[in-house]
Amino acid sequence: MKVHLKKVGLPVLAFIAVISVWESIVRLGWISAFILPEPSKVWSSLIEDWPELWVALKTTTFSVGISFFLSVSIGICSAILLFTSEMVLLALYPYTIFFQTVPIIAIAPLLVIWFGYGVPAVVASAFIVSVFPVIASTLTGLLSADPALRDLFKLYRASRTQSMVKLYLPSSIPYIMNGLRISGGLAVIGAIVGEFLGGVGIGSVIDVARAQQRIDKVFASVLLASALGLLLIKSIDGVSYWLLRHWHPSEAKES
Amino acid sequence: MSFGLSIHAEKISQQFATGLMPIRDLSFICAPGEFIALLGPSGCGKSTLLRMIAGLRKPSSGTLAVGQEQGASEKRVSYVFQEAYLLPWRKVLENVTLPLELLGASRVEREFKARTVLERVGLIDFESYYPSELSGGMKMRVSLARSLVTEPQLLLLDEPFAALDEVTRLKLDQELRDLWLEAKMTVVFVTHSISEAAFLADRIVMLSKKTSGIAQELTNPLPRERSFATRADSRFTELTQQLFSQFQELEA
Ligand SMILES: Nc1ncnc2c1ncn2[C@@H]1O[C@H](COP(=O)(O)OP(=O)(O)OP(=O)(O)O)[C@@H](O)[C@H]1O
Ligand SMILES: [Mg+2]
Repeated sequence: MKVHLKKVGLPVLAFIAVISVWESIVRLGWISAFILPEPSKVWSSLIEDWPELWVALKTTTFSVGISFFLSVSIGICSAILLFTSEMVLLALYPYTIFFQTVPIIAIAPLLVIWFGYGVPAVVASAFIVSVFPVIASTLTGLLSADPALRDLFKLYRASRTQSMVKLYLPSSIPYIMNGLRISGGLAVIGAIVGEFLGGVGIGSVIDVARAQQRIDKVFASVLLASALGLLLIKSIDGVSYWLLRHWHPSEAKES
Repeated sequence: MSFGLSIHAEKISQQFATGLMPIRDLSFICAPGEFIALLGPSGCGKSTLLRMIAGLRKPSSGTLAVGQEQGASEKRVSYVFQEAYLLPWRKVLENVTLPLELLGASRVEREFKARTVLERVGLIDFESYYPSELSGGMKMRVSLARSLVTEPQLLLLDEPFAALDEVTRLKLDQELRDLWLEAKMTVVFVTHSISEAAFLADRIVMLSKKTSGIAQELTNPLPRERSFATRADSRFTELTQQLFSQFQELEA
């Protein structure tokens, strides 16, 4: 009980402290409200602009959801493909790194040209930045299945599908989960970048608010985007716990 | 007509990419239903030989035949590793059914056979536990159960109880010997423990690190039925003495 109080109480206390210091600094005029709006202003923007923010948030959530889903499914399937054939791995793996290193800001305008304004360009942008961690982590997971267990499957003449389903994929779940946490955060960032140019969602609200010098609204939107990322990562944590609680040290429960 | 598989190894060698050749021109024969112990110092190639017998690695030269005199096509071989190597995401029962699953048995058959062997190793009450909830000795028992569930004709064990405490180890040795008396499969048991080899096997094959081959073969004079009292038998003491002096010569 005491531990619980500390775990919740301390972050809340820290939050209140930072917010009050921030509020007073701006109110005292030490920093201009044009540069850093006081928390109370951000709060009122959240309330006043809520109808607009809510619509934008829903669009962004939709784009992030679609692109994350695509990253996970395409990423895992690609990794299995790369793993299954050494030829494919040698031929294609270098190109998957493209997704990791591509400067998304630079090619976002191209995505708008290719996919048009709106959700498709946003999804493409989020997908490009979030697929690589899934591929890389799944591949690492598949490659690190225990050699003794591989021998066991070989001994009983397991087929490729049996080995994949019963050995390689389960062994890689801890790795995949780690990849998904990284990928989830990147999907939100990729979506916001795409929306700057795609003209929809939270990213677009940020872009317009900045042009209108509504810094409080920018902050309110950023807050919502972070909340979306947090929610996504927490859900991944939940799935990870559920999948690994019985067998992997990373999710072992104290009892 | 025996149930077990025979092993015929003729001048087999194993050379690794590193150039090391732990097994060189080794020949030996194992009759169906025999219980053999492979004894030798660490690094002499016991695991390497066992892996070749299991078919997990081909000899770089020589011929190795594992089979039945009558040439029946189906060969059931099981392998127990030094550690349990269970699938941590599967419960005990599902770990034991795994080999049957891979061989395509029906669910009913799988679970029936798995429960039978779990009963045999004394773990029937733990079938819905995860491996992380078991002790080292229990995990090893599950591993043994998994190897037995296919009713193997050839059971290969690579220092299976080496990591366990003495009492558990003596108990499992006894269980294994009793199991073998019932099932009559061929057993090759790798160990570096002299007393374990002397207690378990009918024939003890000693490997030499120097010659990368067999240093000596000894037939065990002890009776087929063995118990804790066997260890006090004068023949047991003599045998271990003999093996011990052999061992020292090998190491020298
Ligand atoms: N895959 C491999 N590649 C290269 N060398 C290997 C490989 N596997 C084993 N060796 C070498 O072959 C030798 C014999 O190894 P092996 O594992 O068969 O010994 P062992 O008799 O089982 O020893 P221990 O009792 O310690 O398990 C060792 O020197 C080892 O370094
Ligand atoms: Mg070994």
